[in-house]
Amino acid sequence: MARKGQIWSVDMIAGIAIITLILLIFILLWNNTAIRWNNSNDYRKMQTDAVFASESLIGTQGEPKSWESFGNISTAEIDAIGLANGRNELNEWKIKKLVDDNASSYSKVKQRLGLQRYEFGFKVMDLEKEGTYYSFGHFAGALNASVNLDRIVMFNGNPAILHLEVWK
Amino acid sequence: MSRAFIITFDGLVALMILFIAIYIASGQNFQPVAPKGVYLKQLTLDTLTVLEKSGRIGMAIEGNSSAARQIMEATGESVCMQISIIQSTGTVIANMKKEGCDAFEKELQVAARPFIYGAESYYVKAESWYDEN
Repeated sequence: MARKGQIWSVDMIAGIAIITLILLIFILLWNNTAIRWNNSNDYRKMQTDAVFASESLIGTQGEPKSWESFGNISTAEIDAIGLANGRNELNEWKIKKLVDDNASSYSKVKQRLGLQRYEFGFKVMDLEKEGTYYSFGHFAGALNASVNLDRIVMFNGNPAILHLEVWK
Repeated sequence: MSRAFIITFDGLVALMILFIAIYIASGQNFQPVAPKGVYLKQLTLDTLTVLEKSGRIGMAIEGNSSAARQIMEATGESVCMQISIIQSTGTVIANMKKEGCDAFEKELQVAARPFIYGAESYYVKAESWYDEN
């Protein structure tokens, strides 16, 4: 006489347990890979945005070109921020204007440099990076992942470094 | 005939291959090089521009390359750079390499520009790469 059919046999339970374990391992590995990939893409995007922002700062005058003459940098009339007179030549008045308005215009400056998703700061320093002429924005502590770029510029007729730090 | 079971030998082999593939992929260092390459290119162009605007190419042509070297040394620890000043006849007037840099690594960025000094034409070439040692 045939035995009665039973949905939960030992084989069935063992099979489901093994499949669950395999799926769990698969999901954990896949999740880990996806997180690493996303982090890498985020960092890559931050690097690209930092390079573009540094390029805007040292390669352009901004739009309008005399934006530093406006009373308030946050005005909608300013479309882009640039610190240059010519290629790699920093204009001290433009830097001074930014630094003076640091507290009130930081968010708007971030937007206009395409860095609205991040925090950022820049310093104009001597070639040896021992002295800082001007500093704008906020800088990351050691715990934050940041992109650090040094661009070589002319400042008041002498070579200098524009150090840009972008972080989350 | 053997009883059916969810995990067969074929299935185990296939799953093992899948796990090994995922394990290898998850262990990779996802560090794309493209933005670093763009930055290196910009830094190379910056160096040439500042060398030219600060008059340090002219000084190097006259035999004093220390001022030009000072700018090269400011390009950051991980960056290597070599700058050559070549006369229009092909004679190399100056060849400066950043201290501590040896051979070119995998990624090399090159930028060049013409330069006129004392009615003579020169060609200034900057080559840069990341020091991976």
